[in-house]
Amino acid sequence: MMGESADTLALPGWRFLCGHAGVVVLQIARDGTVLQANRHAQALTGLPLVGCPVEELLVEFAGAQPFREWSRSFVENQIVNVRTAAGLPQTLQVTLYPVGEDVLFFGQVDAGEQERLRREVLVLNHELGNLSRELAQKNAELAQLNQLKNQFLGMAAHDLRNPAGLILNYTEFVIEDGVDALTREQKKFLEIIRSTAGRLSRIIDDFLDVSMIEAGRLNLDMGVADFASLLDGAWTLVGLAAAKRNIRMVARLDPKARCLLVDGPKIEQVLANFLGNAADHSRGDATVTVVSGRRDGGILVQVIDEGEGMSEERQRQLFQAFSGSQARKPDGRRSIGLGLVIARKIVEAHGGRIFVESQPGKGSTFGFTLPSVCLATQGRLTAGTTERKGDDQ
Amino acid sequence: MHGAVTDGVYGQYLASLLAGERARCIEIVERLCGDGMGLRDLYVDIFQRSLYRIGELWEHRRVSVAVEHLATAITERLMSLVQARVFAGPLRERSVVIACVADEFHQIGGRMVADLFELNGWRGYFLGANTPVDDLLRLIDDRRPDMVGMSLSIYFNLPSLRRALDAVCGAHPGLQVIVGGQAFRWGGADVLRRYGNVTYVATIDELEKIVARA
Repeated sequence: MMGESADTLALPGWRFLCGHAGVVVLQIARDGTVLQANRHAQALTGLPLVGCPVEELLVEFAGAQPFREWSRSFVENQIVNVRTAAGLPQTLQVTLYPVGEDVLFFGQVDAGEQERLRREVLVLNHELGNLSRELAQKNAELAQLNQLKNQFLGMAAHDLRNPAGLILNYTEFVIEDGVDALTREQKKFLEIIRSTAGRLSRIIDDFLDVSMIEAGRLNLDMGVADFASLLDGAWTLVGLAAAKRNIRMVARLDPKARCLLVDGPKIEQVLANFLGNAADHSRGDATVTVVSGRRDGGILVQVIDEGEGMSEERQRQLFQAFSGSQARKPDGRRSIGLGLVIARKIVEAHGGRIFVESQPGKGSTFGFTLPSVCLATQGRLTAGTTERKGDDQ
Repeated sequence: MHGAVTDGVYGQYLASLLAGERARCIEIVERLCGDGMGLRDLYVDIFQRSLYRIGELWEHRRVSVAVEHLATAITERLMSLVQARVFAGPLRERSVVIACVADEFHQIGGRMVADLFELNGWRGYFLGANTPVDDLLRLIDDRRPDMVGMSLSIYFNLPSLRRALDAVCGAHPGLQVIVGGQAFRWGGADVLRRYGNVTYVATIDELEKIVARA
């Protein structure tokens, strides 16, 4: 609190200024020492002030004229930045009155500026809150629409599955029973119907899988499985088509990564997808190589093809549903691009990671890792390299 | 006990809000939500009640406008905390557009009303404070809501409300409009009678009855 000399007491309102007035009042000696400071100054700065050099209070920058140089004469409404107890600098409008050898320093916050600032902060806070509300609302709406899409997809796929299955089954009956009665052309047409109905069935299965996965209904049925058997099962699913183009599969399996604790049919589905893609994108007489081994305590599986490879942009889209990554296969058929999405979800549900490494013209390697918990300790199987040719199946 | 909150918990919350202790307020609200408190009760028995009380304290010169503004900002932050729950649930078929009229900078009441519509199964679009009439009309044209709500906190802004009502009722004569807010706490809502499709809503209970009937 400021002292009260006879001179200063003579000033009107001096007692008020020394008390709680929202004005910084200092008496500064010629050498820059603060001789007196009012309560507001001490509360604002959190400093004792009296006896301190005035520079301790000020925020001054190199290159700017020092306070001591410009404070020798009467100054009105000069901007001065001071340190505050809150840690943020505060700008004051300062008026200096030379009184004898000393200087009286009166500093106040610009009320108009504070009012504008307060209003802007209020408006900005409102805008931020409203934008955050709108964002949350839109997120909820998107989640609701996505759920609706999954329901629709699931219902449509479910309802289409039976008719597609019937077409497939009855076509097969007709082909088998009517061997002698059908003309060559009729048999050719029926083969086309059978293969198209088979593809339709697989697409419908993919839609059902995606809708169940998106609805959070991917349940794993964990059990001990032999990786070599899963690979055989997967190759069986794609081998027929591969055989026609004389594509063979070579497997190099690490015996320490054969006995797994996984959902066997689902991992087989992942392998079938990788092998099917590898065969589809390989030239005739090519080899698809499957390598399994241990990696970082877990398992690493790679399916390597000698196909056309792909750009980085296409690799980024591969594992996203409906991302426009659908492409024509080398034989001209269109892929709906859901197989890899499903594969990714299955691998991730096991705690693993799916990946692709590829360069245009140099083939592709699709792979996945599984964590150490997916390694079963019992029933280790004999190591070996197996070779499969499509027509062996 | 008042509503779903004990006096002790409410007292702690109000004291924390008055002191500007955001973290403590968040802690109390998170605890209440964790204990299973419904959002409607949270809005009415905690947010609305405490803000009404702080408004009274301000009117009686017991707290500054800065305290009131800080309490409002903290409450809006707390509303953001429970936002995901407000918008959860199935897709909404009916919608309402809520706005604070031009020059009206008190928006929290309107935002609460928009959220309460959401909790009652409506899509509640909220335009915020100081909404120009043209923006309001544009959103109504765009969203085709089943209802429009306007909030007025300061009675001196009544001319802005009337301009907005004239424009909305003129452009959409069949559209149901509700008006509410602290501006009508001491009366004055009779000026709304000249608009056939405008209803004054004094309380949350009345609002919920209207929502249930609509």
